[in-house]
Amino acid sequence: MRWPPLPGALQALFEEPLPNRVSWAHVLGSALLGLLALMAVTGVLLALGYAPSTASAWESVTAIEQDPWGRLVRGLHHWGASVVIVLAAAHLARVYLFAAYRPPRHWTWVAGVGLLLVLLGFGLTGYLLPWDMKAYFGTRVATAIPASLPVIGPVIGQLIRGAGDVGDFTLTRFYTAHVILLPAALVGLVLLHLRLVRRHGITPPFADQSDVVRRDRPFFPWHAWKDSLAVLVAVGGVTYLAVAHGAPLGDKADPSNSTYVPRPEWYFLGLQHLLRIFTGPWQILATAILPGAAVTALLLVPWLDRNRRHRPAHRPVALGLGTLSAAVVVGLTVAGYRAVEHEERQQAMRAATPTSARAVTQPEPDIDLARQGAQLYADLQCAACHGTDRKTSAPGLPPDLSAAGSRLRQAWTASYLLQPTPIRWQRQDQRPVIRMPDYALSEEEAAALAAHLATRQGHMTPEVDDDLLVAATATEGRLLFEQYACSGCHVIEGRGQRVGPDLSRVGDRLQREYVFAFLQNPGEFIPGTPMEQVDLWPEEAAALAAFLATLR
Amino acid sequence: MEDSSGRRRFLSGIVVGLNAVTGLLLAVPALGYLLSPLLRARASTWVRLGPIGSFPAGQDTVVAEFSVHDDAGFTGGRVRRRAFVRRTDGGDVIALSSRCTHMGCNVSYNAGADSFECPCHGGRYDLEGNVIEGPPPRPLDRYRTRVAAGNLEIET
Repeated sequence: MRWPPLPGALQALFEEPLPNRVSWAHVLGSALLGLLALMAVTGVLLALGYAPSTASAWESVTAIEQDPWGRLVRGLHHWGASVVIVLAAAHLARVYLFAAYRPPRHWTWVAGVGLLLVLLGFGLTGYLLPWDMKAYFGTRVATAIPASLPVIGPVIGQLIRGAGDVGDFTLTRFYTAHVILLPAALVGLVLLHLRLVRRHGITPPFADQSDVVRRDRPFFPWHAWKDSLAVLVAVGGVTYLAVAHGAPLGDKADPSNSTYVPRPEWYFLGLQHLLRIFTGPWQILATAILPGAAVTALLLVPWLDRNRRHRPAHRPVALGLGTLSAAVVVGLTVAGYRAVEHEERQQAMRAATPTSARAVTQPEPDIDLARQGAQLYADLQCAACHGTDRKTSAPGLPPDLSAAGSRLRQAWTASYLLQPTPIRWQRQDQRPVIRMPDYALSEEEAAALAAHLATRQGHMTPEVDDDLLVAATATEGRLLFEQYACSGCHVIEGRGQRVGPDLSRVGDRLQREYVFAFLQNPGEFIPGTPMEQVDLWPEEAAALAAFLATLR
Repeated sequence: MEDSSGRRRFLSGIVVGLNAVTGLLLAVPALGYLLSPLLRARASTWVRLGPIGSFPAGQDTVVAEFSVHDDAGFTGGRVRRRAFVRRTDGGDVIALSSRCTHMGCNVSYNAGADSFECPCHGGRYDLEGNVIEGPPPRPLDRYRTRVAAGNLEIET
């Protein structure tokens, strides 16, 4: 079989004779190039469905994830990014081991280090784009590092973010860098790198200048098949990871969240860990001096290493320093990973610890306690405001408690009775609509009243579809909360309009089943409520109820 | 020399084969993703227009506004739509889409002329949705209707 003639440059590349000792160790660059092609293809595909705005970035990524092919493409891009870094580091280590940075190949080395920095830039800018919690808080920390530099730091931080904090301007800047500026730099550096490799040729492994290097076999097909296999293994490995694990997407970024533990991409964990080691006046070591010194040293390796020998036995200092540096980077990364894991475990334990205002499940009311509560209810004349003769609640009036047991969570009721705080607000002057007096109850009295109220199921027991509630997800509910502009009337953690009840701790206050039923027909539960009747599908109501149940 | 030439041909074939597999690994998800909009089915839903009593039989056409989930976007919000609803003397409900069958512009109801008129290319339809004039290739689309719990609903 005869192949059609190739263009001149490609023909020359194919026919270039390579040193005979060039072998599997030399396939890393080609595998890296193959994965960069994969990243470019999947990046363009993702850009077709991505919208770089804080209002729509997460939603667009969610839509990509909902398409099975989109999920695969995103998975390829996600895992490809990590494997690219691994291959680039391995390629760099191989060049270092073979001392392939020696003149005349010193600029090839510099271009390669530049490429590694550009690849890290891709990782940093791409990390923000999904606009989930991890993206937001990871970038907040990443941009705070240069911003913490003395004197010029605040200016640099402002320039990188485009504003005082991470937001729309940051997202559009990072997106532009990710899809225009960095790709342009990458293409330029790859072309320069390849041009220099072609000009100076491949360095045979461990060959000193006195060694005779035979070059009697061309690149194609004698080495090309190894390169091709390496590319296939790399692309195949990334495809496996994408199919098996997909790409993570957390909840949409919530800048008000105060419990999220920032976790940068794994190859920045070491850098972040430096911030734990060097604090206070020493922080500049972690933010500028050590990373800057490491990059400078890496760039200057060809000039720092004056040894002319190639064999490892003749380069103990260079290889010792190289091994030590690699061990430090790996050690910092592992330590950074463990520190984040530890902090996440601590956070989870704190969140799981019940407090007086946090009920995990709705317990069965204690009958004896409920009897005491019923007596107390009568003694305190609660019925004067919450009279059972008035079968319903209405805006501006104390709520009907005849169905409190099917509506309120018992633990919240007890905690509320100890310290009543306003839940509903005047539309105009934002003052509480009604005030529940503070009866200075003891904890026992509050618990008894709460137990009594928990027994009052009333006539408003909601009809619940358990299957729907089980299938509903809080993530979808959060999306619906935004779509229906619920924050136009409800506050969550200080965000939104104070028209209806504050929902910041509604998961503690109301039972999910009640919320599910109420959302579908508010007027049935609170006649005359200003709550807008929205045409919700039961699945939507279930998802919203699931989301609201997480607000604790 | 013969051996070397044969081995070279063999390795050349290997290179082509390996790269073809790599290309396939890239091309399958790329094509799948690019073509996936063609496979996206739109689920029909019943939308409530209002109590059936607000559409009296034998009266003028009512312009009914409703909102549906925007399945053309990823933010998943709701988009407003319009339907022209009329109940015949016999009580049958005719619910017409407001989208011109020519190029998809929205038609408006001209009560004086008892017709629907398209502002884009001059298409006109009668109250049944049949083409009277202009380039529309077919009558206005009709929604399926039903009455549920006293409310008129259309299938969108």
